[in-house]
Amino acid sequence: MAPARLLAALARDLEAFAFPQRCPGCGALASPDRLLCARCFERIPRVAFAVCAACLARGREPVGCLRHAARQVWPAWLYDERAAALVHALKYRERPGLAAALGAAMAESLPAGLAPDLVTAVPLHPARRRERGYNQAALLAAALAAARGAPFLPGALARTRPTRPQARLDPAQPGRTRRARRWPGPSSMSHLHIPDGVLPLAVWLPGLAAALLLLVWSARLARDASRQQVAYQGALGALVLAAMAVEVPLGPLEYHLTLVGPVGVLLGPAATFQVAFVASAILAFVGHGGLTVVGLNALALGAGGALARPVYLALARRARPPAAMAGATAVAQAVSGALWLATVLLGLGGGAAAPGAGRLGLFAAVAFPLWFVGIAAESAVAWGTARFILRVRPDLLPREPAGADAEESAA
Amino acid sequence: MINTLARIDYAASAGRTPWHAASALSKLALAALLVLLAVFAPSLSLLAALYALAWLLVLSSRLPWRLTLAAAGYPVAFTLLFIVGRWDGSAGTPLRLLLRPLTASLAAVWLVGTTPYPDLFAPLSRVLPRSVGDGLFLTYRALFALIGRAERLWRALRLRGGASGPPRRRLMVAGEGFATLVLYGFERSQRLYATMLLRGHSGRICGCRHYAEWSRADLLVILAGLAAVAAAAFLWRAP
Repeated sequence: MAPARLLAALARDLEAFAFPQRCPGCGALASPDRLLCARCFERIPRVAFAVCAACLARGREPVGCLRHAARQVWPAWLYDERAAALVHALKYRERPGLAAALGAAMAESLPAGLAPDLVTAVPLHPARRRERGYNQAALLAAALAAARGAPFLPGALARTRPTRPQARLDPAQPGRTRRARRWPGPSSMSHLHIPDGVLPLAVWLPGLAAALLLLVWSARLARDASRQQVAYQGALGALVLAAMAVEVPLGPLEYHLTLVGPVGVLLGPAATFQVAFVASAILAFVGHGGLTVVGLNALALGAGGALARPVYLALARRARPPAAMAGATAVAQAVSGALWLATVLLGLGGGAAAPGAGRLGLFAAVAFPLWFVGIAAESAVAWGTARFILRVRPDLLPREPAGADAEESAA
Repeated sequence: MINTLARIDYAASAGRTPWHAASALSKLALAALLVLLAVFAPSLSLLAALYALAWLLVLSSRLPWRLTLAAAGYPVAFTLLFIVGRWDGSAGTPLRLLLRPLTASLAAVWLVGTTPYPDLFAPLSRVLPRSVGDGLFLTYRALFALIGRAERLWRALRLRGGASGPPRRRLMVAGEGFATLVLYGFERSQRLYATMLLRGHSGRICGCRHYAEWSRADLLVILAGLAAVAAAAFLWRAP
């Protein structure tokens, strides 16, 4: 065996000489057994606490859960670009040699007092095993067992059916293989959005007409905007929709942001109204309803956003940008919320079955606190947004008196 | 969320039913007809018939029914507000208020689930102002990248304790996270614009020109439209 080992070592040295491993993170020379250089390897953010997989899958607070003791996991790293490079190399680029380093990192993430009785691995289906040539989970488990001094028992589990690769499942669902056949769940994009058929024609038709007129007018105002500015507008429109998809926990509430204030400040009135129209139209198309009331939804969302920049510029003369952004967002959110409430009240008041004062009072008791919560939440988020932009790209924030110049320089 | 959107988008491009083969313009007209009839229909029977027709369209398009139900059931939450507010003691008013938005959103999901977005937005971009038409394309194109990024960012924030602590701190941390997305969106728009220029962008995104190419599959769309009109004629005055 000794000559064979010697030859193998020589071959590895020769390979390392002919094809030196470069770190995909920084380009420096790296060990083939770790892929990354020592500096990049150490800079992968570590997670030094247990996370509840059950709560994470349900979108709840995953840290500090006491309800699902059996579902606690100790993630070694945050899945950033460097960690992704390592995991992808192990799984898809035939680099089983990385398992030792990854297993050691997993062992380090476990609490010092935790002594596992046994380490095992989920087997690959034979078809996948043939395709890949090795079971990366078994390699990791063996490395983890060696690092923690625990016995490794391969073959303790059996896979009875092939499942879809995890990479092709919904990334929002850890433990996804088992859940892949489940109910897809409602799309969580949620904000104040009026559906079709609940408002009388006398309310939605003028709203649609007004929105279309404003749209034409805003397009005339923005006709000199560069094409790059239109692309930026598209990106921020997508950001508005993305923000609506994120649930921000606020005590018992899950609040969905609109970011209409910050977007209004960054884009200016005309472009913001267009963004509001486009966002409302896309929401209506993807099943949120509101094809006939796209005008009213755009007016409610866009009117507040359109006010944001003038208010910001007025406030920025006396206050720092984060405070000015928060103030402008509060005004934008107040106006949007007021318009939405007025529209709903118009809708409730129309028709033969107008609600009594009691029901309107109940509606007000629910809607007004939510309105104020929305103003406070959006303002605090806007503060953070402006603070970060001010640190990193202050040129994106509009400036007095040359607000238009700032917009051009941003584009 | 991104999963629902992505699956609808995939179904629109990968579907091979006659509805997928029909032109975007005819499907747009059929969806508009269904929405308008649903909004104006006074009779519960007509609304039920339109809702059934919309489901028939969805199921014959082989769109996953659970996915469709999840996507098109979204307006229920907001409709409940109006149902409670306009409660008159009868069953008819709540049912009408429920069926109208559900039929409209189902028709919209059928349209989006059978029509790839360049075909769908192309006719709209011809009637909307240029920057708005382009905005539709660019926003939809950026949507998947940004939603995916936002969800990953939010998950990372939660893992690192960004979702704990007092609400003010949580929201400000979320704001900083969104600011990174603003910067990403800005840089992405620069790259996208450079790519558009390299590909010969002439100042307007027109989408594809197949949206009005008629085929035999359009006869089915016309048939469905006629069925909706016939249902309206017969059931308009029904209870």
